[in-house]
Amino acid sequence: MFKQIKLNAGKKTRQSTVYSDMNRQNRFETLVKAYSSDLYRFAFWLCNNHSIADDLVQDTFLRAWKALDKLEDEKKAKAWLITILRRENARRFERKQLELVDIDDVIVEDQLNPGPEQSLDKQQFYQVITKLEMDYREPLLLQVLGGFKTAEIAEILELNLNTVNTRLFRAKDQLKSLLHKEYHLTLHNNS
Amino acid sequence: MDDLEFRKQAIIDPDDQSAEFLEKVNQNRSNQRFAAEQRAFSRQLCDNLNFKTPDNLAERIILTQQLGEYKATRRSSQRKWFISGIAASFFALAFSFSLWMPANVNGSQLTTQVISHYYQDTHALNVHMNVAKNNIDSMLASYGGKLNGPIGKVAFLGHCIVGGHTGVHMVVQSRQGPVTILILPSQPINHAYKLHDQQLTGVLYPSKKGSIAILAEHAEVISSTRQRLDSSLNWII
Repeated sequence: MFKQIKLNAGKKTRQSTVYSDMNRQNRFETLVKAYSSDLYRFAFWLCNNHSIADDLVQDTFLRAWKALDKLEDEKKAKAWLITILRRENARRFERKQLELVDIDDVIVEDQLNPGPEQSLDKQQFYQVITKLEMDYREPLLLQVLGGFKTAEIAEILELNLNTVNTRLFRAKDQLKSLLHKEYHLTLHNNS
Repeated sequence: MDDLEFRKQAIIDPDDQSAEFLEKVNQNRSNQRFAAEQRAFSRQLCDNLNFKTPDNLAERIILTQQLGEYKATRRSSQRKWFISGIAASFFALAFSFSLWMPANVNGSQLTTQVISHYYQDTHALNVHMNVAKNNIDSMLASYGGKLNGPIGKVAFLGHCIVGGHTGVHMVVQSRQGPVTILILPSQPINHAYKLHDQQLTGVLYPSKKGSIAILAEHAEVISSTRQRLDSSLNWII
């Protein structure tokens, strides 16, 4: 009798472990499907390289898988993943010095095959955004691409709200001025 | 909020929903116009920052994670496997493989690996995920496969590793119980093998790309599942 009860208890524990593993896996896959594209874009605009962006996203999700149990609030999943990605990016800088790439040589991969005018705009935009300092670029990406509110950006970047506001203001100001300059340069070249 | 503060806030966060900001926006047409310009600039930024991400990005991430898990599990279970090695070899001998065609060494090894995988992953039989067709398509696409028709109600779908190669592990519900399908695109074999032991029956056969194993407790569902799968599964690459 005692043996039987013990066996059943063991079976139940094993079954619940299996279901717990399945739930964890499902939870992870849901996160990957929901946020991998957003993270990829964020990573690309941080490092300006598709291959590095791919590696960053892969490494981010591997770390997220290991630490998945620490994610208690699903609403904060995106911010949590962005924080992991930023740390992975920082580790990349620690590991090796970045190769310097001449911005003019970099062509934006545009897989949507838009018209020539739109391509030109994207190329110009790419060159402009890569000129923005990282301190300004990051909050801007989090706001425009990530859809985060300024308070959330402050939390992710571990900065106070005023600093985030100042950086966002300067980022947009610089961007407008750079786009303006780029626009006039194109007009001049065309004429 | 004075005019200067308003303009600064409109640049920082044109979608600010605070009452103070909204009140200032609606104060006059000039403010409305300025806020609208900043929102348009944000939209323009967003459009330019967005681009199509690589195909199968999510699938590749999940595959990398599962391969990592597999390696970790293998490392931790190496000792356990060593202890149970002798028992396992007796267990493998207990299976009888009736060959339809002349023996093929790789094929024989694969039959053992397929059955071992079935018993290692029996939890898949108890999962009822009701997997959508687009999820199956998405997973098959990473191997160059595509389903052109229904194969039944899929209750489990996942990547699997059989004999060190990745594949797709599916469980289809039938009236006679769950049917396990292992699609192994990297494991080509020359001949078909019939699989059976005291508990299960099945078949391992060559596909246009690699091989496919179908396993179930009742023999009658094997051929109908194979027929449905063969008529629905296409290999694009």
